[in-house]
Amino acid sequence: MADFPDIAPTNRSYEPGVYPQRSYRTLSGAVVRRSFGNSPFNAKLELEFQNVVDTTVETILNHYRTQTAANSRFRVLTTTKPLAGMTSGLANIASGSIDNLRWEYAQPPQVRSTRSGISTVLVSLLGEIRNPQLDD
Amino acid sequence: MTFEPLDIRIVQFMYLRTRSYNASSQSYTYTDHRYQNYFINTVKTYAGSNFEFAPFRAEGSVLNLTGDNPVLQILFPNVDFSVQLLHNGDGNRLSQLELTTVWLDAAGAYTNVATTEYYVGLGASISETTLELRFRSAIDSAANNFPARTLTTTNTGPLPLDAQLSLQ
Repeated sequence: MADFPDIAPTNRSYEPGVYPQRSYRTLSGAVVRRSFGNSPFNAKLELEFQNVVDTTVETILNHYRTQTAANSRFRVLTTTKPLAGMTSGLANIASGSIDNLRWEYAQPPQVRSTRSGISTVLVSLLGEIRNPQLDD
Repeated sequence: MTFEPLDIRIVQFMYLRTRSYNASSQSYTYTDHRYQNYFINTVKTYAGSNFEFAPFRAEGSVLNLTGDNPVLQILFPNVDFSVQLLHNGDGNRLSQLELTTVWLDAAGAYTNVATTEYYVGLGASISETTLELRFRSAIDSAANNFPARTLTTTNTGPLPLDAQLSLQ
């Protein structure tokens, strides 16, 4: 497991995970909700790196390649730049560490070249339930 | 009658005892497995035993009145620990399963509502993503013409898995 690179994003968006619940509506209209677990999953973190140099793009793409080729999850550490500017409490939630989530790439990073040697990269991550002892 | 909250939280505790034949000692070795499927990555204690988390799902009827043995399937993801469980347990043949379903309150504490079912392993099958353990209840005696006798291995032979008894 290689943690996400320590690179500061230009934009960042975060969506908490959903809980494993399903709703059933009875004929009377009342809703019955069934819970299947006590932890959220499928959190989303999007990071945009605008106008970064090629070596930074290479770092991100190499991280994507090694993690995805090995089908391996990773952490986004609370103390690193992808979560910079958050309070420690919020960073604990957004990093997924409070729920033992591990991240994986939702899709390959999107790279758009803006001029010679400079690109903008969009990274979409999914936070999934993993065993923290295995950290795979 | 009061209107109960319409929230359902259910945990299932599975206690599986697999057996494998040791050719050198010509005896069976029994291994206990205890898993629960609700509290993520948590070891929960129930009835004095510890149950680790495993993402399994139980499917199938739990009882009926026709005398045939209910079938139950336990589905695991096809990962290393479940494959080991299968291989070390002689393919889930004649393993013993005690499946307890417990309803939880909003805080995740056990309520008094719980049911326990007992099953015997029939075998298993593996697909590329799932591993299915198949079970039948050991016996269900609610049938026509069922003899009003105590059944033992002496008068029936080994207890069957297909609801067909032959008195000897």
